[in-house]
Amino acid sequence: MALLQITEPGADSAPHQRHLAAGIDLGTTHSLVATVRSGEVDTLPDEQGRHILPSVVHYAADGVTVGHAAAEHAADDPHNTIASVKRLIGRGAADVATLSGELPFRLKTGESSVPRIETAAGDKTAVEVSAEILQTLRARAEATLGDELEGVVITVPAYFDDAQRQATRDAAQLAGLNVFRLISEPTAAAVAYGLDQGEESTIAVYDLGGGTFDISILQLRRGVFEVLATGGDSALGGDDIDRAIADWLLTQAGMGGETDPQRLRRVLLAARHAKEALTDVASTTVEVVRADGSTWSGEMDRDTLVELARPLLERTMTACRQVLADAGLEKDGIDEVVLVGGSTRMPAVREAVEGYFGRTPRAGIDPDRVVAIGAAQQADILAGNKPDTELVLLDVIPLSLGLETMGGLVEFIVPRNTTIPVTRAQEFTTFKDGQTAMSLHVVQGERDVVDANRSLARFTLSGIPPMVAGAARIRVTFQVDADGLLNVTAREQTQGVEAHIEVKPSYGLTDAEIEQMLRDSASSAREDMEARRLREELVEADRVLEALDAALEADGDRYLEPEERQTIEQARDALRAEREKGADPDAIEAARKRVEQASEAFVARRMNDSIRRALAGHNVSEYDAGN
Amino acid sequence: MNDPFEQFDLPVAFEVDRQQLDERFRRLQAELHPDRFVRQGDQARRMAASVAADVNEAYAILADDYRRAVHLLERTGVDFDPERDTSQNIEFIEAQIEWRERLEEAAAARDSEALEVAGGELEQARAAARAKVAEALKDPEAPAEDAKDRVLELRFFDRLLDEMKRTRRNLAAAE
Repeated sequence: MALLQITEPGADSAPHQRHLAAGIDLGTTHSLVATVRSGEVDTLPDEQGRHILPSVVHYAADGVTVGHAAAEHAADDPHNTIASVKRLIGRGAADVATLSGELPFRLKTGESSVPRIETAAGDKTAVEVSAEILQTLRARAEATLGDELEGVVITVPAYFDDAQRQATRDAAQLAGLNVFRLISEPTAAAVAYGLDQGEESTIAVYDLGGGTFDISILQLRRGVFEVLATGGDSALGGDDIDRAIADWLLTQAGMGGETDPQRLRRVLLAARHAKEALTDVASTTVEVVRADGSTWSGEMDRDTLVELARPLLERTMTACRQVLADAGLEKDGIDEVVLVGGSTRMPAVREAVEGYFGRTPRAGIDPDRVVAIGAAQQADILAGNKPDTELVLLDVIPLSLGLETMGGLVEFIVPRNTTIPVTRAQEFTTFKDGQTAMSLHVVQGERDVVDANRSLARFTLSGIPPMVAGAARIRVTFQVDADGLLNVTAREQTQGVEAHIEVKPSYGLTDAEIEQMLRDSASSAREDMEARRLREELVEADRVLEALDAALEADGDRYLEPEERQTIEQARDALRAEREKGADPDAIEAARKRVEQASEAFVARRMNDSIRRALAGHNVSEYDAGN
Repeated sequence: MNDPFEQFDLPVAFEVDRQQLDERFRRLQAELHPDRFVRQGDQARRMAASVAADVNEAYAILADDYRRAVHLLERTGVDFDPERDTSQNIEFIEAQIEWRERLEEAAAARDSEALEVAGGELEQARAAARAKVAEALKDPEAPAEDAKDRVLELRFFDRLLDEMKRTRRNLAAAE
């Protein structure tokens, strides 16, 4: 905070105060944090000057390490070294069972629906592991910026389902971060390249990371992004190219039957170094130590690399074809191609992409950092540092949402690629005379058969008055917010019985579990829970007060009768008084709720007015000028 | 929810000015998206989310021929049950069966060329069906007697085209 703040009475309390915000790329193999400072956007390095934080967490009995230090334990302590946790986040025990063979750590999928990883520091969920990574990035950003972050934008893959998005948000909450918004990784990359500044374009984002490949088609029209289609292969990445090279090296060195993990790991490392070297040179020397201690040494050239990478690149092109068809486009319908992910540094990859799409891909920004950079730019806008911008990132729901019906079939309520936020409702009825309860099973996916889709939640609407079969009318409403998070409500129309669910239970963590984790976590050991709640309430109170004062100043006379205004102002003053005391989170919350209640009609009138203005053709900056 | 035409301040009619519709949609979203309210407290954000959801839904109805036609019928009091209602027109039912058989045969033979030809003809047939819907709904306050059948026929073509796209995509991916 500035030591001296000059504020004119009646003016915005701090018109030029910058709101601290950051963008976070929470990746499978590595993560980054970026911010906008003095108009320049960049990723933030750690104390050793390293920007990339390996997404690895090591749990020892005496403490937790994150990043490079944690990654060093991969060989000597694999069970306690958690990498690629993004593959597990928001996943249920059944999904994880298919992965567990590939993961070095021990998974417990027994008693709880949320799988837990056994570590020396106790059992950990993917949410907790991710929170450690986020916490590390948060600390880095706050140390660099010198104050607390007001909010962050976190990127998620475009295809992340409800469970995975919810779990990512839970992890952020656990790390003490206020999430402005989750945005999709390809959208962030396009924002980083300033493609949002154009009028209309269709953009392909080719993202080849270490362990995953994603291809997304975005469409931008007048400042609004839509994800037209997304596809890829969650088990294909630069690491596969390393493995292909390693296999080739083993054959060359006559080590076909090699099984020693230590030696295999060294060969894999040599393979990766060779791949990286071949980005800049046409040929490189590789050395491999055999079991008998002798060394094989040989040349590897770029042609060999291209040959070895070809089958994998072919698979990425197949996915590109499919996603284009999905978006209903031909190759020539693509205006821009953006490269993301460290593996796109390989010249062979760039050539393959250029060859397929017939245009030079955008690659000016470091492909490892481009997603975090775009997220930081969006965070800067959402924090209110760029009031003139009109850009709104519109997302679509990546996978259809539906309910199980008779015979294990799915009735789709919200089809995939529907623009969010969205609310859709459908009516169902009872099928037995006197039926008083109805169980609802919410699923996500594209298949007609329930079992082939992702099970999101089960809940029961009970207390339906007994009627003949088919007489009850049960209205089930699906609400998906701007982050793609789902809320389901069921209501019996004739009697008004209601059941409601935040879609979490069948795979996610309950609120109680999250609260318990907050209590247990290292960060809250340092910081009392009450103190944390008070801080959050103070921030929220300031937010409400600032917004309300600005709204009253701009539109109070226009929309409020004197008595109405008086009621609002009384509630506001009461909140301000509680906020000044700054002691009791419950009292502040209660006072804030009263303000919100008192001003509800006012907020609604202003919102209706902004609809009217928008339709009449006034633009946003004009509106904000009076705000 | 308000009437979608009213929400977008557009005349109630089957034909909509797509450019105007898109333009207004973008403008409304730029104004009302919950992102614009992240710093104004949870209440404003929640309200914006609900209004933005309404706008999205209204847009989805207005932008889609079939959904717009259903909405026009429903607002004049015609009951519409998308699950149970089917066209009563015998000729059309026969045509439906023919179309289905033709597509299934081409798909079974993995004949992408035949699928492409059928696809072109299907697009034409859909355009004709759409024209009939437009005619039946020419006066949106008084739809023609057979308007509902026409709308159901349009839906048949929309669904079949979707299915065909999926089939072609699967064939393309398998190549």
